[in-house]
Amino acid sequence: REEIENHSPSRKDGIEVGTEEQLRKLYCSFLQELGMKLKVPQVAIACAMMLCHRFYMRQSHAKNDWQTIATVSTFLACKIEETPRLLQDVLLWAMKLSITRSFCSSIRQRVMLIC
Amino acid sequence: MAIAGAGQLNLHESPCWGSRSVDCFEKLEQISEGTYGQVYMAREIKTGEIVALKKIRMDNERGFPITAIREIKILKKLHHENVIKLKESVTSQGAKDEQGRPGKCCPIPINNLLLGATKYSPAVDMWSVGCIFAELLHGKLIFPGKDEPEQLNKIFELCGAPDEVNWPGVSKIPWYNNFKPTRPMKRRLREALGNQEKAPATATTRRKGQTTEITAFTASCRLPPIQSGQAHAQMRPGPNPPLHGSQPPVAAGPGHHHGKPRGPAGGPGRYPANGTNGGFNHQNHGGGYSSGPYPPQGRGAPYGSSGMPGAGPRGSGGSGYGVGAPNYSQDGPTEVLVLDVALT
Repeated sequence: REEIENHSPSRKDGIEVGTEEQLRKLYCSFLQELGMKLKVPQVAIACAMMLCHRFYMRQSHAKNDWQTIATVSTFLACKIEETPRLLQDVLLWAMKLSITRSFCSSIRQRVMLIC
Repeated sequence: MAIAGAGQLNLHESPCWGSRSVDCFEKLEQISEGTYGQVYMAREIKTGEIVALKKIRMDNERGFPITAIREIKILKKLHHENVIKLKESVTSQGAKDEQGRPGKCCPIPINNLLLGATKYSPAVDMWSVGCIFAELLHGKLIFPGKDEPEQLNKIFELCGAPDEVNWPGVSKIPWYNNFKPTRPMKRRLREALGNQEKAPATATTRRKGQTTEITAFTASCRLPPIQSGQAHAQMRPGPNPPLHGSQPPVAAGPGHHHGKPRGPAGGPGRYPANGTNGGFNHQNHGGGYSSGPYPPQGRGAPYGSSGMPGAGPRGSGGSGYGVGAPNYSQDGPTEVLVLDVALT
């Protein structure tokens, strides 16, 4: 497990273990909140988290915006768990959440660039 | 390097696992085509292995079809020599294909929608289940039509011709007039199957009767979700699954009485929610099952809680078709689909 952590695609793009861990927390809380807004069962939320984790085992955080991936994961997880939600609803709530919460990735990126 | 900006996706590198291109296979011939998509016989170019390639039709409004997701999920769980194995999923430009190694599977064209009807509902799955049961009993295809008109004719011959009585709203179905049978046909399913003395030993007379009912033309075409849901619930492995599985009280049309003992009438209502919306809930149901020969496991659950959108759709009359299955949600007939997939 440690080996996977040390060789994740994000690592190759220069993202630290700590940063990736933070991002993981970030998208999980995002997924949790999104799932609750969409009123899907917890299994669907968990499924979305799994999809997201698995995605970032193969893809880099540097190249894939986690909000997009999280939204997509939720949409797919809802279908997998037989509680499909309309794409527009998923998108709407995802947008609302990213606006209301300060962890909008573009803002973060700007902050990081300034620093 | 900073994390990705909003909306940034890695579209340049194709991932190194899981999604080979469909170009790895060479299509040999089309095996079948259905509402779900097309199935091809294909050869893997590298190994020469012959596989079945199923092209999934993309739903532009809702993305990857949930039916396909279900199918993948179920196929991944199923390991049986008679059920096709899901080998891998491959992608192509704009479409996704799914591929399985051919197992022993029998071609049963059962899940067709009749007469150009466009709505896929649990009723269609119930129809499939009925067909499969009948075929298991019969030992061969029950509607061996070469093409659609012929098959339709076979169905009508066996199940009687559809009309407004046994299928409300049928005359509004697009192709009804094109295929309307010229002469009235009587339902003779029970006779046909009842005479099957060579039916497998496992098929008891009782089950024969039930199969007759499940394949009831109207009912199976128009099973309201509550009944489908129930049948579905009973499909679940239980203490005596076969009996439960084939026991949906199909009562959607007049004259389809089982004629079997079902326990004393007037038992505690099994369908409390439906008491008031009548309609499809045939009197047959009055005789609750509670004191019937079956243990109470696996009952009740599907009713009280499961979202039964607009319970009693038959009661709403009018449009007749499609009212049965507004959303194929929750405990949709997944198990039913298993059979569908496994045997198709």
